[in-house]
Amino acid sequence: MSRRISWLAGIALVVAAWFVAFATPAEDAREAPFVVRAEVGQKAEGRDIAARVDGLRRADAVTAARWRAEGNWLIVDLTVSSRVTTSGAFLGNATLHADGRAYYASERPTSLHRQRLYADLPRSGSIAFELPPDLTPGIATLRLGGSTDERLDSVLEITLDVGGIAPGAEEELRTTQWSTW
Amino acid sequence: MGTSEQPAATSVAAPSGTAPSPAGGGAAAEATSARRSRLSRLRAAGDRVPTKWFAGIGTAAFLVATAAFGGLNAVAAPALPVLAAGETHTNELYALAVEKGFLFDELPGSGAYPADDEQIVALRVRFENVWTAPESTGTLSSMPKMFALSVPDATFASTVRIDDETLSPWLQPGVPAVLALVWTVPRGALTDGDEVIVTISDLSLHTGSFVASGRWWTDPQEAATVALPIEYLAGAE
Repeated sequence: MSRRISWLAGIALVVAAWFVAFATPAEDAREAPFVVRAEVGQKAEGRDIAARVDGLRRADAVTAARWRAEGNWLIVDLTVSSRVTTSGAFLGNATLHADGRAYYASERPTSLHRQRLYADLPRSGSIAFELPPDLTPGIATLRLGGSTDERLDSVLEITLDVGGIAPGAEEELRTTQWSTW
Repeated sequence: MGTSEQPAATSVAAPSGTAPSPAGGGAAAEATSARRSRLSRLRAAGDRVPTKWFAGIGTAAFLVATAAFGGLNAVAAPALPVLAAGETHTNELYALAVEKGFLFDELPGSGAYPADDEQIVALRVRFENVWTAPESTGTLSSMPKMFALSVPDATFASTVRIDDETLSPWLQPGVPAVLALVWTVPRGALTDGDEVIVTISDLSLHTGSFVASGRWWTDPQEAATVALPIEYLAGAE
């Protein structure tokens, strides 16, 4: 009788241990970012960043001031500000996740990417992503934040439906300027 | 252990080994008994070897066996594949092709500032990032670990896009780009038409743990070489 009880208790403990292992968060979960999700056209607010995607464009060539480049471009028109700090606040992270790969906003044209942010003084402009020549992403995810090191800070996550946008021949990035929500 | 086994083993071996052969037996029987007694003597001798020696004997036998096949002789490193100029080399991170090499006195816009006793070597390299995330290319990135020039005292100076002169550009996955990789070299180390050997190394992706975080490419392993004639251009891009 006691042997049967000890067997049952042993099996129960092994099963319980399996559930504990199953329910334990991953090692990096304790420093995971706080994700704020939003739609296109909707203002998303994180700890020290607020942004709204105003529109999406695709183009075979992009111009910004005197710069021009051909390629498979996705342009995201954006309004963005910080919320609590002005000193040292930047749009340092603008990453597009599509097709299992990650793309940073291009640093080639002058754009909103890596620009200074001001607390609750929104600026509008564009960021541009250079994609592989043959890639037509359907649904992509845009992540915005202060730094590409996303640990333990807010990250704005906006789902973009890129599939329905026909590419234009040439598109110009919006000039970065003061704006309103 | 070994010593305690000895008497027992010999006592077991003794009766069978020293058993007298039947009197008047044929030559066959005598031969069998001789073989048996030789075997038993061998076994008795074997039993007298202390167990502690087995590891040593095994090691010695292994070393002798490996020595027969060359032992600890230095092994010639396999020769690196030699690529032609413009031929694509693909590793985990990039598909890349070293196309041309140039020597300049100075190269405005390249981000390299040679001293008076220095010149600039620039390689024209076509890249495609075949990894799943963007990779930076500046002097602090993985780029200098991947390329080595056969020029003494060559110092990696900068990376620049050839089309729009973006310095230290990010290479986005799947997006081809042509870059100039720029070194400063001592003045006079090269002249027009000299051949430079570029050694390309492959990197492995490391994931930070404990106090480090993130992922980065490091641990270069030489993978291929390209021999390039160097063309001297007076100064222009």
